Order: sequence, then C-alpha cells, then structure tokens
Amino acid sequence: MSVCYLLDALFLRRVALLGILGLAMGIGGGQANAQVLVIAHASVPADTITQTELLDLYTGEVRFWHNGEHVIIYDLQSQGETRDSFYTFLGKTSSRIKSIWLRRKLSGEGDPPERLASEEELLVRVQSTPGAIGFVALAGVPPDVKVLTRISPNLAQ
Amino acid sequence: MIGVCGAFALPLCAQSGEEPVEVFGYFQTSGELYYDKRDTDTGTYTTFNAQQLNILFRKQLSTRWSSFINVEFLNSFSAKDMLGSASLDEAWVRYRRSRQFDLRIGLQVPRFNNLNEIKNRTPLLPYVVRPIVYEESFNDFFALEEFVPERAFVQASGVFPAPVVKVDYAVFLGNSPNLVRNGEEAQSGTDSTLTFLVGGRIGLRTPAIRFGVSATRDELNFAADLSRTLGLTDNRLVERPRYRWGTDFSVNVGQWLLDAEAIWIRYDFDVTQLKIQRQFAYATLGYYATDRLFVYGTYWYTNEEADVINIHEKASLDVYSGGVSFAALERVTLKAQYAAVEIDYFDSSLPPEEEHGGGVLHIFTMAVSVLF
Repeated sequence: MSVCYLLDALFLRRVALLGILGLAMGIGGGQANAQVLVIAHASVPADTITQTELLDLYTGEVRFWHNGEHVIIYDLQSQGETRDSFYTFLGKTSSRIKSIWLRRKLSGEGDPPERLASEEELLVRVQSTPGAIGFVALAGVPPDVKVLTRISPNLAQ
Repeated sequence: MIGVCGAFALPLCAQSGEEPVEVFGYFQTSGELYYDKRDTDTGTYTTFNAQQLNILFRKQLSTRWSSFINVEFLNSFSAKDMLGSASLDEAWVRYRRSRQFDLRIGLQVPRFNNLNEIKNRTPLLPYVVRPIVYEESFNDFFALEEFVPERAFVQASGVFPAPVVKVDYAVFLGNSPNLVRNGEEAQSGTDSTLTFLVGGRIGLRTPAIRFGVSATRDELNFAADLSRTLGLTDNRLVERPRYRWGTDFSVNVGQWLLDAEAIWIRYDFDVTQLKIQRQFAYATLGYYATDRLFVYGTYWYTNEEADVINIHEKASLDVYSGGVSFAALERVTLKAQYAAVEIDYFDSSLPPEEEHGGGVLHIFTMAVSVLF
C-alpha cells in the first residue's frame, strides 16, 4: 500500500467520522459547526459588538458598558467546540487569556470570568444578570436575550 | 482563592451585598547548585531557599473602588533565626473611572518598563532567578533601587484605543530615596526632603507587539558623604537629581516570544571630580512548546562605573541563561534554569596585580512556584 493511498484512506475515514459526530451532536444540541452567538442581558446598551470590543471585555481591559453598568463576563468550563470557536475568533488561545487574567488577579485588578458548566446554565445566567455577556451555540435563544454578534464557523478559523 | 467571608463568615461581611475579602497568594521555593570559578573560588555548594512568599488581600469596595494589600516574605524569612525579610510591599486603594483613567493611591510598585510592576509575581514569570535588577531576593547585596523605582504612592494610568494601536500611559509620584531609618530623628519610613520621585511610562501596543519608554526623576543624598573626600565645603552633593531612563519591547509571533528592556541611570552631581553611571539590559527569547511548557534563553547585562577624583571603579555582569517552565497543574509551575554569570571588576586604587578581578559563576536552579 503506498503512503499516499494510506493517507487518503485515513483522511476519508476522518471526514466520515467527523460527519457522523457532527450529525450526532446536531441532533443532541445543535452545536457542532454551529454558529456561536455572543449574547448579552437585555439591559446591555449595545446591539452589536466587534471582535476588538469583545477581546477588550474578555481580557478585562474594559469593565463598564457605555452607560456605566458593570460588565459581568461568563465563560464555559470545558474545552469544547463552542469555546474553541469563540477564542479562535478573539485571536487568543484560552491559555493566553488565562495568563492575562492571572496577571490581573495577582495585580489586584479582579477575578477572571466565572466559568459555567454548560451552555444552558450560561444562557440562564446571562438572561438573569444585568450587564452580563457570554457565548453559546444553542439554537433557541429567548427573545429577551440580546444577540450581539454571530460567529460563523469559517470566521472562527 | 479563598473568600474569607465564605470560609469563616466574619462579621465584616455582615452588611448585605458587601463583597468578601479575598485572600490568596503564591510562593516560590528553590534549590540551587553553585559552581564558583571566580578568583575567590569558593568551590561548589548547594542550598535550598524559600525564595518568596506573598500573601495578597483584595476587597472590592464598590463597583469602581477596590483595595489591595501585598505582604512579602523573602529568603526563608524567620524572625527567630534572623533570616530573610518581611515587608508590606503594597497597600493601595484603586478608583477605576474608565479604561482611560485608573487611579491608585497608597504604597505600590510603579509601572516602569515591562517587568517592574510584576517583578515579584513569580507565577507569571518563567525564571527561577529573574533578570538581576528585578530579583527581589538579591536585595541584600545588590542595590535594585538604583536601577528601578521600588515604591510609589500615587499612580494614574490608562489606555487610549486607536484604530491600529493602543496607547498606554502611567504617571506616578512617590518619596525620594532619602527615607528616615532612625526613628529618633523623625518618623521612621517618612521622607524628610522637599523632593519627590516622579516618573511614568508611555507605551504603544498591538495584539502582537508592545513598546514603551519610561523615566523617573528623584533626588538623593548618598554622595553627600563624599564632600570631604572631594574637598567641597558647600552642599553641592546634597539632594542631587537622579534620572532613570528605560525602554521595553516585546513581540509575540505564534509560539515565539521576545522580551527586551534597557535601563540607563544618570546622576547630576554638578561636580567634575565625581561621575557615576549605571546601565542594565536584558533580552529573553522564548518558545511555547505546548500550552504548559515554555522554553527560553536569556541574556542580561549590568554595568556600574564610578570616577571619584582620579580613581576609576567598574563592575559588570554578563549573564547567559536558559531554562524551562512547566505548568504541572493550573496552580503549580515547575521551573529549571541554568545561568553562567561572568563577573568583571576593576579598581584603579588597588595595586596593579589586584586591579582586575572576576570570573565565572555557574548556577543550576530548580524551583516550584505555587498559587494558593
């Protein structure tokens, strides 16, 4: 068997496997290759957000919304596709973001974002916390939660 | 991190909605092997050292106000055995108006170049032994404060975002170095002069590149004792200005990181028979092999020269070093470092055969840095 043939076969198997996984996750939660939505509490005085503004919030450089309300940032606990897509969109690895927050914490500038166990929990917290922002890949975001931007899978590359 | 209120339900937190006092900190403990090939040749020896312990307290006082205390213990501190030192390193309150204006009032380590403000945050740094002017545990035998400002009492800082780059600024005010050390003369730890330390940093940054310029001015008395030696009968060496100039540069491309700094110190003695100058520089090139493993090589240069009448003294250090830093756990980092320290000194007041001295000191160190 030639090396090229072997690589081709492995590639096809991987594509097929990813397809099956994607289908399975799609049925389960609609997350695989789905858009990541950057969501915010209804009180947040913004309707859209840029990548730069999002990076400023998630690195703790900006702590207040334009109306003076305190920004509450939520993150996800586990390394998953949603979190990876989000941080790829920000242009920073999650370990780099972690070290930025460690510097802030040890310099007395505050704590890193609270990391929640699931997207469902994150959605509930954003929905109920004034000034809150987070990200999910869920299909059904309630109308009282603002969607500030949509990160499509190709934008997160 | 432990929230004291959560752990002990102190009455301090009885008011509803009040944030708890956060108590957290870190320490670094190291083992060192010295292979000394200097003229004095003390041979090979090993040692262990609880290099540093910092206990931090933070409290969010309101949305925009917070306070912070940093208590530092150095070099296996023991009052019983008279080892090391303990100090109140920081105690300040912060008012954060906006990204453009942040005010800190109280004892603090000011922003100067890239490393000064975080020099004692061992979990953030890959080194066991930091670039020498930032190595707090060398304070006993190396005059760190000649190179960098150690304390300030008011600092305003902020960031101005622009389309391509962000502009950082910091300006600070503190005591001159002429603090009262004898409580019988005046209140210990206060500044008896009419001058202050003033300084700041201005920097530009993009997500990948940082560049900054820093400066301080203060006035000191340390050369006043030389008046008689120099035959001066006036107060020309009292409260003479000292200027520190610094520049820092940092670039992060992919997994690579380059950090560099330089510092120049100039003293304005206004006396031709006395001249002192100091310089320091370092450059570190590092590579993130994985998210948890950082490998680096670094070079430090320190030079101090003094001319007093016709006597010339010079001492310089060239340090070639390399090491690794591995995050074994989120809160535990293992570090290893090797350094070849080339020491060179010259003193024209000594007999010709003793004028030059120096040699090479090899240091192997391993350390563990723990966040708690």
